[in-house]
Amino acid sequence: MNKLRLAYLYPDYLNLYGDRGNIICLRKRAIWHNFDFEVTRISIGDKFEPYKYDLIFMGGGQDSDQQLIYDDLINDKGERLKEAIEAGIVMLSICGGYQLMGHRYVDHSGREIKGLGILDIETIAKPGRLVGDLIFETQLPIENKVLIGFENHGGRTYLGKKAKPIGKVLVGSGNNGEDQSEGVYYKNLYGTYSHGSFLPRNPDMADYLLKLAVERKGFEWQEDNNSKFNQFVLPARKRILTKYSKLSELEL
Amino acid sequence: MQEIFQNQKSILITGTNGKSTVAYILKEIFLKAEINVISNLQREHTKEFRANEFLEDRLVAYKSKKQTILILEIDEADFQYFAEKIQPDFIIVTNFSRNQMERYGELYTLRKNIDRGLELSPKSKIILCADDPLVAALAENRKSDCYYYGMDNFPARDSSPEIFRSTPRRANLPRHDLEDYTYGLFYREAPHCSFCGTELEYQGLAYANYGSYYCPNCQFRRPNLDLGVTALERDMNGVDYVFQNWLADRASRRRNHNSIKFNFKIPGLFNGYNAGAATLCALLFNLSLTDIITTLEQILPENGRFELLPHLPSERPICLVTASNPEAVNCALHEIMHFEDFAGLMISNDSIAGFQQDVSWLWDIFFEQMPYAGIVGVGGDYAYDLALRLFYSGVEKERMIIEQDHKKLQSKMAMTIDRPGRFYWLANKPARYSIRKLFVRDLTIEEAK
Repeated sequence: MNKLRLAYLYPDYLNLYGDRGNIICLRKRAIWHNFDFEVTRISIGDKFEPYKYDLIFMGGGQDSDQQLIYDDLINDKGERLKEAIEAGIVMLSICGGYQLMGHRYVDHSGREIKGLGILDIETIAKPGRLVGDLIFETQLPIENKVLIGFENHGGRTYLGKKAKPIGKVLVGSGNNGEDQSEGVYYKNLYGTYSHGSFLPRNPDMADYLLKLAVERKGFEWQEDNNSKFNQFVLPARKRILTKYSKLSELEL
Repeated sequence: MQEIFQNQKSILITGTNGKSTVAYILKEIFLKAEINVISNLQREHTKEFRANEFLEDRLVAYKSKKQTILILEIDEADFQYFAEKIQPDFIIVTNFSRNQMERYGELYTLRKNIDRGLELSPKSKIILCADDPLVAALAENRKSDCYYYGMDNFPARDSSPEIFRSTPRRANLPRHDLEDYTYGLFYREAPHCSFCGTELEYQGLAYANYGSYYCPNCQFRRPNLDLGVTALERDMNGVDYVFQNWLADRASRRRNHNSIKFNFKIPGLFNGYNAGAATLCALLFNLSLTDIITTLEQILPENGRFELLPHLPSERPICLVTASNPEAVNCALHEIMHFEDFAGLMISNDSIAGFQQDVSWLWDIFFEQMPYAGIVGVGGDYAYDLALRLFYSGVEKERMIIEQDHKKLQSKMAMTIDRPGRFYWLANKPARYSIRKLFVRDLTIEEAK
């Protein structure tokens, strides 16, 4: 059986908001599509060889935990991660992980923290957290264009000219609460503020990431709309969407 | 407010979990000792309401002219306010876990709030859970007296349920495969030293991040205990504990006769911690360990603390267990599934306006290691979110009964499962209230809290 390999960056530090569900979802859906799936945890001090992997995941954590991994990411793994993204590796980064992919992060005290600069974004911490359901509409080539998450962040992310948002916010704040953008993607790197967990609620997005990884590796992805893979997704999405009358016409 | 409270003893209890249980146990201990108690067991969600409520109670206490102890369970968000206003004699901090993150954003933010509150009440004596490194670290640079409760022993790795066999050392674990992740390691709170960021090492682990830890890089380690809790046999009827009063031998650390074995009728190791917190506080009021234990032995499970819901003899008994965060659910799951009378599992989660809207935490529950292959009933507002989570953990659709209505869920479960024994019903706090409203007649505000 063909195997997909995922590198899970800093799982012992960036794990606060149930982002582990994304790994569970990717793993299950890969297996359902007849691939073996191996997860390797990579943390501070661990050797990181991106060419060994097909997917990379980095979640969100507390500010202080992000500070703990910062040196390791920027000074050790960062360059190799950058090269891998340029080469087209598939990566999902959430919240804090997403912010660190940008040019810089300015914290509440005005201190500037340099990011990896892979995404053309910068994040500025401002008073008041942006917390709540996050629903946005994407133009990515997936069937269900409405993506659902739960956001919980203090930083506002502003997009540079080269940044392409993943979607337009329908409910919630998204990147900054000002321009209705949510997330950014570059090549096969996707960054978003959606916890929730994100992928189990949006299985089309999960399959899209897997498909990108499969095709990049030269394997064949077989579309399988087997409804048994999507048990309970519709009613779980419906619970959220029906809270907002303006979304009543949207596809669940 | 301060002058109103200054002539009587007061205890503030805060932390993410166990506050109301500690308050309840303390209240029972003091009442049994014939000490008048005012508590805020009728909790509401505004400072003003609480303050007014206390004022009214205070007037009643004045009229009675009895010795009175105020026991106040304080929401984490309000702690600074009340600590500063009341200047309590004692402050108990139970634990920090990922609970209602939508309210606090970060655990460390919450911890900072508590830390600041302790600063604002510099003369209070502080009672801390030694086994939670985030809580124990609150003692750093504190001028006031700090006292600690925690586990005196930890379950043996080879003879205890799976939950207790976790090893906290990352180096000892397989390097790949999610299912190989040892429970609690990567999803436990505060795996790193609060002072230098180094991964903590553990000599023993009770569950989650509760244990005997030390930092291999700096001096931070679990403090010596003033009240030691040793868990012995446990089943659905409770836990045999030995409580050791180390206060009497704080300097020598010599184990003496001041330890008592007893049966505590509320299962769940986390309730052992809660009983430990209350006992240590009562000891500091100079009550005797013997008298305290006598009261603990008489406390029955109630208000969703492994509570047996009222039922007719012909009906299936149901045990209601409140669990509102991943640690509590993991711990409860692994305990109840080793009970001889376990017959079926129900899980209900509800929301209430303003909070408990985020279900991200369901993905941090380790359902993958649930040692149970039977039917699972899921209910409440988040029934389908729970079903989705369970589905991805390997529970097939055929093994689930999904019914948002709690009463219907219970009926369907009763019709489906023949196996004799109790159903165990895990519920978050809002669901606990909804379920008790259905099953417990004449639910008072106090019970509903």
